[in-house]
Amino acid sequence: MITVEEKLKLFTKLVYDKIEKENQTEIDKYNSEYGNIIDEKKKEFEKQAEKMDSEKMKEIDKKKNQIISRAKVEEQKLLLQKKKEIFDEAVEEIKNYSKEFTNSEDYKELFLKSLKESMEDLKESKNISFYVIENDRDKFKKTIAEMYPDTNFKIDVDDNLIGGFTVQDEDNNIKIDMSLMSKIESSKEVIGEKLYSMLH
Amino acid sequence: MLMKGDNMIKEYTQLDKIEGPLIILSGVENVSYDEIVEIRTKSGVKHGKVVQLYKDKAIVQVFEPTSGLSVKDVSVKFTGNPLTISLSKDILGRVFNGIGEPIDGGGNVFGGVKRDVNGRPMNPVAREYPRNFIQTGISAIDCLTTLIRGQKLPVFSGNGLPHNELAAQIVKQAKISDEENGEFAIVFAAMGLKHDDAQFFLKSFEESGVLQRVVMFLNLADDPVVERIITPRCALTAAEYLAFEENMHILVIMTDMTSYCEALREISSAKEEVPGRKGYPGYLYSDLASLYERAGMMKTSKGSITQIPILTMPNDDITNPIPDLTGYITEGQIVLSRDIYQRNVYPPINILPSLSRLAKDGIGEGYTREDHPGLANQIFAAYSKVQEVKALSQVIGEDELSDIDKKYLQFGKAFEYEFLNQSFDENRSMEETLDLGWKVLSILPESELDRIDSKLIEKYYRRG
Amino acid sequence: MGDKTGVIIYINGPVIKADNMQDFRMREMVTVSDKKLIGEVISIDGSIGTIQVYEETSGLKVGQKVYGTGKPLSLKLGPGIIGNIFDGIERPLNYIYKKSGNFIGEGIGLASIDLSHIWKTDISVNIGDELKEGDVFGAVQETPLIKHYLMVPPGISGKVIFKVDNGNYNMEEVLVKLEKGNASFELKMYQEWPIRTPRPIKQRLPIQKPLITGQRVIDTFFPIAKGGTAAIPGGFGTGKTMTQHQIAKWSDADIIVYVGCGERGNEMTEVLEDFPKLIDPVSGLSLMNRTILIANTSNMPVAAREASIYTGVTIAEYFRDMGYNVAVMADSTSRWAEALREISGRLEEMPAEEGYPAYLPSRLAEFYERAGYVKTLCDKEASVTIIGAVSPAGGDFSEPVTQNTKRFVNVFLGLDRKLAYARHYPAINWLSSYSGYLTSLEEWYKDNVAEDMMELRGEMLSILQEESDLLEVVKLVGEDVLPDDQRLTLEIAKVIKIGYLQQNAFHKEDTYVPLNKQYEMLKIIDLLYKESKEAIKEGIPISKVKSPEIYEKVVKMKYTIPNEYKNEFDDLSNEIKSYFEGLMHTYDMNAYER
Repeated sequence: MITVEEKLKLFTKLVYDKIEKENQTEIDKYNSEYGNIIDEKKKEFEKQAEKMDSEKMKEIDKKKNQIISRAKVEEQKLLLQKKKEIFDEAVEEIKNYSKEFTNSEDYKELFLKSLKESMEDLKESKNISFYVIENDRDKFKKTIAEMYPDTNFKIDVDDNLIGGFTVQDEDNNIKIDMSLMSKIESSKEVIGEKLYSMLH
Repeated sequence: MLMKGDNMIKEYTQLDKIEGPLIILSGVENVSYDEIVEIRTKSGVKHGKVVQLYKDKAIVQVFEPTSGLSVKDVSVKFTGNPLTISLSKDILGRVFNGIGEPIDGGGNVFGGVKRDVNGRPMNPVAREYPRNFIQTGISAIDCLTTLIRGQKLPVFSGNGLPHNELAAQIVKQAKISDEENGEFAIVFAAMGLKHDDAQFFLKSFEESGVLQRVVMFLNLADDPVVERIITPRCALTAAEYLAFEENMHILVIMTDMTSYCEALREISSAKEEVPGRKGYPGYLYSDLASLYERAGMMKTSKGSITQIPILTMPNDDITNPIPDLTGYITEGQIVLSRDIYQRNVYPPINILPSLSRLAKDGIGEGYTREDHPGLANQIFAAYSKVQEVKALSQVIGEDELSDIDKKYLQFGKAFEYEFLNQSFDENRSMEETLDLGWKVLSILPESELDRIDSKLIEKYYRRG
Repeated sequence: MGDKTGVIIYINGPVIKADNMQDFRMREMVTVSDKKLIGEVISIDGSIGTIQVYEETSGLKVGQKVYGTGKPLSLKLGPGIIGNIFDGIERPLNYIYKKSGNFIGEGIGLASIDLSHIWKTDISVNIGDELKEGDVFGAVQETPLIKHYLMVPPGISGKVIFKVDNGNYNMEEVLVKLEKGNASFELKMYQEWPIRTPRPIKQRLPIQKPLITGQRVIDTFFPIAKGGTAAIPGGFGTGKTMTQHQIAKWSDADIIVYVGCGERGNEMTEVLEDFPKLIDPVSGLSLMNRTILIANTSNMPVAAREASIYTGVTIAEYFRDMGYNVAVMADSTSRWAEALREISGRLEEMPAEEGYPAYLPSRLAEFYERAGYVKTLCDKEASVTIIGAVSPAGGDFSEPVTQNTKRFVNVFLGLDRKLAYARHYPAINWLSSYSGYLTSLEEWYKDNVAEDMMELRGEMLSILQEESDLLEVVKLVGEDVLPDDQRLTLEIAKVIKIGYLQQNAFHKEDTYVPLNKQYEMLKIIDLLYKESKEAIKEGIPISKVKSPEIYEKVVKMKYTIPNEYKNEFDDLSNEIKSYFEGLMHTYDMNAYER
């Protein structure tokens, strides 16, 4: 015999089960929906974080590159500057040596040889200006006058020349540079090459 | 030892005439055409070259300004040689002025080889036809105007457009050397460039970590105009040395070619030559060709020279002689558009007039991806149709357009904002770029895709 | 003769002047300075001569010498030309490469075809034969494709008094001796000819055959004739060079002379790399076996650019004289005209339009007049066809070179920037282009392709013309408002444009299309048009008439139907017919039901 209580119990259970079932689907539905949303949000945030990360990384990379790049170039520059200093010193020394050289006998010989060569080219000229260093003016004035008696010339001083001379044909606007300074200038390339190959 | 008489060189102490950038001397002897001349004045040394000889007269074009020069008080020396620069691998990381003299305080380059900056024409039988593409990470370039190693591909821009950014991005992202890592360098030639722009490039070279692989030849906006004629020649001589003797891959950026051409015009008019179009000399084409043709690859060397000359089109006019003649010589062009830039799209490349002639042999199966040629072709055709539809919609209104036309408008927008548009830092892979191309193309119905093989459509269309 | 010398007094780029030149002749070839730069005398005024120098003049000095050669700038013509690449004055680039390496130096001296090369020679005359100018006395198989006939040079004739046996000889050996009166002539494997003088012919013949190019827009719409002239003008990026390359690759000329005049180095390299790999559709042999390249790239000396065009056409005439049909591609004649302008400017001549010299039109005319369909001195029918690319400044066809070229050519293939932007290749504008050979060639098309080929052509062209008028309207009001028959015109025009005019140079079937396939394609499009029109007339809406499936098949037939088709065209035409039959039927039924 089924009692009312039992009936009620059974009925309640049925109702309860049904409701529970309904609720469960609802809950499942919500769970999955929210889950999706949460997942999406999560993904979105992760993406954003990743993006920020990668942007930061890029930023850092850039800075890193910049610093390394600068440092490398700086290093190269220092090296080059050092080399240049050595080079400049070398050139300076050559100049000093050349100054001393102007007191030697060899120098005198060379001076006169160059003089003959350049005067060969200016045979036709009547008016000639010489530029020499202070020392040489007195040393060579007489010699020049003796060598070229038919030519009008004047001699001026230019100590920048270090030694040697420049000669200018006043009629034809031609100049010949036989100064030690210009020799050194035009030999710089050779000096540099020798020096740098030693430094390498 | 120093005082040998055999290198006795005559100097001339009077000029006949000074005329703009030209000086004329008479009574000269033994002068050769095109040789370099040193002009000494009280204020320093200027350089020039012989541009015409007539009996005992020589016309010399002076690179620095002739203001302050007088017919007396000068001494002119003919060096007997064309303009040469000294080159060795040590030039990497160095900065030179427009005529190849170091200005970074590092002293001269010694011990290198000397090369005539005028170069010589490359023998076509010695050339190697360029086929390897360079990935720039920029979709519009990689997909539609693919850059090839050894190509000359100029950027046609206008004042105020982001051509410098684009060039800098290419330098930063270009995979110039994948297998022989490290053997690449950049030669940068600035002609009449603004100081700010020079700074911008310097900074971006620093940031991408290539500064020690850059050789710079700078003639800035306030530097002598005539010097600009020499600047790109020095740069290309350096590039040829690095590429063909040191086997490096060289990217040469030359900016701004417009300033170069204007300098050429200035000299031409001083020489009273018969002017061609817009006052530019008749030989502008040959002259530009003597620069651009120095790009390429050679059978006997592993290196390459890829050129990206930048020029600003006066009045944004592509028919102006400078872009016009450039386009006839270079292997395509990348054209920037003010319209697109104003729609806030970077890089504002107008793909329709843009073109890479060498792409045909460097893309597709075996190079990039099988669908690349067809895809690019279809995008060009479709985007060209977009322009027609836009014109029509301006007349009849967007609402009156047919459905298919509306799709085209939609495609046009997506193309510009999703495909074309990318940030200065964004580096897209070839795969990404091509997929993106398909994505925007998929806006159109399949029946509109008349340039692509049906098998490829099946494989890629609306796949994502 | 050879020992007269002038003294340089003036140097300005490629133009120099020298004194003491009274004994030199106009157009005489000279060598300049100890570097032996090659030049040509272009004017003599008293004792002062003006010389254009074909090499870089850097380093020349006033006072250096100019040496005469006693003869005008001429070419050595003989075996060894085909498959070779030369500079503007016929110096082999390979030889220059051996001499000066990767970069072209100056002072290479005069060089030409390899005279020490030994060729297997057949002599076809006997002692006692009377030979006149142009007669063939022997032959050399120069390439598998081309038999090089050895001819008595123009102006020479006589009785054979000596001949060698068949065998191997180098080019300097005397093969045949002729005697005429007291004079005797030695004939070698090569002859010399001045580049600026057209080689003589017996008679000009009227145009009668097309130069078949395999390019639909050319062969069908704007045919070029063998012995005719054509110009291809277009701004940069419109595909001039591409079109020239396509014609060089696929046209049915026996020999192609490709003159790269002031163009890109890489393009010449491309030809050098590609052509040997390409197979001639007729002979099955490499295309290099019939190709000759003349290269003066844009960075090579400008004076040689001026000469390169003449070098090309002289070589072409030489092979024509053997009985071959030769096509000369000149890319680009504008660079040649600019070279004229540059030299003229340095000579300080009075400029005419846009700085070009006043003699530009006459020079252009002289050049194009060297084309022709002729009877040669040895009574063969042969031709020289000239196809010149033109690069108008700013893409503007009103500039002097394009305008003057238009006066002297019969086919004008105008390239269009807009079409090129839309990647419609070849970008030949069908409305502005024309061919003056239609009437002369009609007969040939009737006899060799089909009776109605030219009729179909006319129909297609009128559809395209109508489309262009309609598009003006569409621009204003949109396509939807047009009546269906007009919309059909637009649709068919689209089929013609995409399915016929556009041709894909990179597709293996489409890059070259024989005439019979072109005709079949035209017929299919015509059928589609007629059937569609009929259906529209019956009141069937365009949306039904334009079956995407059928239309797509027609548009893609260029790819899907092979050049060696069998019955694919019949199948397609049946498919079209049955579709429209079905359409009409259902429509009739519907109408009946209503």
